[in-house]
Amino acid sequence: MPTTIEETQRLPADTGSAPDTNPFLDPLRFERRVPECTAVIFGANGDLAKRKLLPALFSLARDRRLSAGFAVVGNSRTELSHQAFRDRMKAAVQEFLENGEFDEEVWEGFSQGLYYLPGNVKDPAYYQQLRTLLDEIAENRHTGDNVLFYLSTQPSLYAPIAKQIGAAGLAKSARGGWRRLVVEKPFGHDLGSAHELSAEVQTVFDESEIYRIDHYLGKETVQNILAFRFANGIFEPLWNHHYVKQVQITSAESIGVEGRGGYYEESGALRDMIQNHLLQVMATMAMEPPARFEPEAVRNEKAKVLQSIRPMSHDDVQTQAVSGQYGPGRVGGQELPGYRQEEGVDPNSQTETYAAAAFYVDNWRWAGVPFYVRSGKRLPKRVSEISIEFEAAPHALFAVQNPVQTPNLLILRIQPAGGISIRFDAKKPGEGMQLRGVAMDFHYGSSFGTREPTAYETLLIDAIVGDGTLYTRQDMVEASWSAVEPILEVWGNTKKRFPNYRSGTWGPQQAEEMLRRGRDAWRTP
Amino acid sequence: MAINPAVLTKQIDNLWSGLAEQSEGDERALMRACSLTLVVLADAEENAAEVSEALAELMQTHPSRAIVVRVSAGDSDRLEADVRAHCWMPMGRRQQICSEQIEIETSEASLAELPSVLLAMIVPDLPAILWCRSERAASSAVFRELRELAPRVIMDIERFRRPAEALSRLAQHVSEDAITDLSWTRLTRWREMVAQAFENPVCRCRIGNFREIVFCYQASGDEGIPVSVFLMAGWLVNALGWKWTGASVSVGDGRVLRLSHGGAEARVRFRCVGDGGAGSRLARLEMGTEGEEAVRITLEREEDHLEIQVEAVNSKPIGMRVWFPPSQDGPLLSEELRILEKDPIFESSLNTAAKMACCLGP
Repeated sequence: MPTTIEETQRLPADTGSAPDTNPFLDPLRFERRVPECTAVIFGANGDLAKRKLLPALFSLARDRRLSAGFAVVGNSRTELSHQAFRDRMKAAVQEFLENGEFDEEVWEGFSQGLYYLPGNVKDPAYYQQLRTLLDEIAENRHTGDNVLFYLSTQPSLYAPIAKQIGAAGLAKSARGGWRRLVVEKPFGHDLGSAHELSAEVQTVFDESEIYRIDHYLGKETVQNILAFRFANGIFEPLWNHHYVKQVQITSAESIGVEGRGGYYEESGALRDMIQNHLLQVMATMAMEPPARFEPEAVRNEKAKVLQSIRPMSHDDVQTQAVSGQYGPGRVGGQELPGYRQEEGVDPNSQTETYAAAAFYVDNWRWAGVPFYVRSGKRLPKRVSEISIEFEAAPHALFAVQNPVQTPNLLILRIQPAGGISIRFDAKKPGEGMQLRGVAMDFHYGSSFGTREPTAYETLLIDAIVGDGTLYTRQDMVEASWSAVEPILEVWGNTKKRFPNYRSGTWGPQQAEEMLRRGRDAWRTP
Repeated sequence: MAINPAVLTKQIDNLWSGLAEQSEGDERALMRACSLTLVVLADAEENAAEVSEALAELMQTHPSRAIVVRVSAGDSDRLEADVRAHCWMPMGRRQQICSEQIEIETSEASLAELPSVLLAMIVPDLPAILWCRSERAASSAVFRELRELAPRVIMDIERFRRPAEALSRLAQHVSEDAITDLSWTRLTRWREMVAQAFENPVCRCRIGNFREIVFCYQASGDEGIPVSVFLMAGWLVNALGWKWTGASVSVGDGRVLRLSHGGAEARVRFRCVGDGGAGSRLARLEMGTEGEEAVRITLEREEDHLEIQVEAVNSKPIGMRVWFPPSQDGPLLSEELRILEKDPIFESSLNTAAKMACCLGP
């Protein structure tokens, strides 16, 4: 017997038409909404796609962060069927998955959305085939005609591919979808080429549709710099030239060029690490608080820092920048070759595998504070960190018992184990006023216990969602090229006495001398 | 028997001094960590290891002062306390991290003494959370006073003997306090997948045409429709904007609640598919539209995976499998501890769920 119930609750109104918003979202508990889309990866048979992109996309699918209709179209010149491409990508994901375990059942569903379209990216006919495939996918997988183009090819193909996409009419959707372009670094080889590349790509895509990926900015610990600074009231008052004596940004690798000698010969440590990753990290550390946590507001503040870096004269480069190249060495009983002995490297190479520079940010907050930035290969260990040294107490009250004062340091560790450490002095237990340096540690992994997404997972989802906060913008790229341009010019015109540091050491002696001139010293991470 | 909070505080201080003495020297340095007070109410006969395991897992993400209260039946004046520490060594570190745990044993009759002890033992300036697994405590007169000690209360009514009644009681309190329930937390991943399905433009365009939801649940004997299924149904019905005008209940292929939407009938069907051996839980969910451009969304749980399928007329079905291991209390609590305010979506879903439970019966 049916039971009648009176209406007792006010419920949402009937919805006869399609709503613009998704009424099932729960902002307190769910991640942001992730729209359906197709990712077209140019260079899908390359190392980046195999080692990073596909494993990151698979992790996102496994963790319920991609939609069911999500699809990938891989491109390269190699002839492969869809199934052969799926098989190759499966092997790659199994080998290179960084977080969690490979799951056969998840792969089964995920791989149904993998397609492959071989072809020459310079051939206009290729893009007509691509259009047909994208239309089919949009129809069959309900992707809403949203397409993310990902350039993972050699940099010389970036502009030609973008132009072909434009010429084929693929940069705009006829059915209301969005189109975005993700560009891998390097964004140019110098300021001029970076400007030229942007100009060419912008003839097809609006700047707001271009996502220049700098994977360093996707690291959880780099993002945590923003949280650390702007979510806590206690540090920001100290975050200026009144209290900060110097800042050191270090990115050290224990490995050499590992078979990438050919690529590295064309770039070197300054272009490969400092111009992009480390200057972006520096901008994150030194930026003013944005008015809102929105992509443009955050990127505006970062751009201002990069534009405030004091330009170096050629004379300044002699005292504020040091290059180095590793020679042979012996680490842990193992003989290591020098850079010039590596495969694909010119035996008389002038390419630097180590670069250090002292930058100054000419604004009210940072006037006079040196930002020492260094990056190198074959250093003693793999570590990336920002070390902020604070001014000493104005009066050394305990100097008699403790003639050597240790500075207060704040260490923001980026990798391998992300976290934050504060070093300060404390009294040793017992009589007298003997001090000892102690540390207060926050360890990212052990404090939150959850799996950290890889940088590529974070950045890929951001691009699909349309959040450019962690991507670099044209003005940021050009400002960072401007900062290193004088160094590149001087080094390009100087014959350097390489090698000048042994594998397994902290770099050339000249780098120590550079800091000693400013009465500073590199911290040993 | 009585507990003197001052003595208990002294015991905690002694515990820390003892731990520090044991770990002298840099190599075995020790860190005391506390981000909140977590008061756990559990029935005395409950498996103590279950709570301990959940806390051990939770401490690594939310180091807390945990106060575990075990409530026994009867009218004894039992009220005893003990303190201990939870220590762990994070991977790759040399420093031990420790949190403190206070164990209190009490009886139903002595529950009234508990608020004054807790009030003294809650860590100042940090949030206090009440996790109530005890039906005995939840039904006691003093429960209201206990709720007032904590800005957020986490229940787990699926553990109770009469969950449907508890659902109704919970709905009465939910407007007053920031209460939640782990049976709701267990649904997050299901709800996330439904929300994701509606990012599919075909599904979203037809959202106004959905007219049927079918819940297949596993239950044994006379367990009835699980609380989590009612909550899921409440959430879906609210989000779809279905109305109770002229609502009715019928029995046929499962129990069916008939609501209305856009002038037509909209049905919520509850179908028991037997005992899956994993307790009462949601096993499968289907949502479908009517009309020429029909769309059907299916979510089905299989062991450690959830399979989602979207079928639309004139296109191939789209399927996806995601990793979906059974929920453990530690991660569920961790999710809830991230939310310190009231949860309006839970509140409205709970109200609708309670109304459905009332109509459909156990």
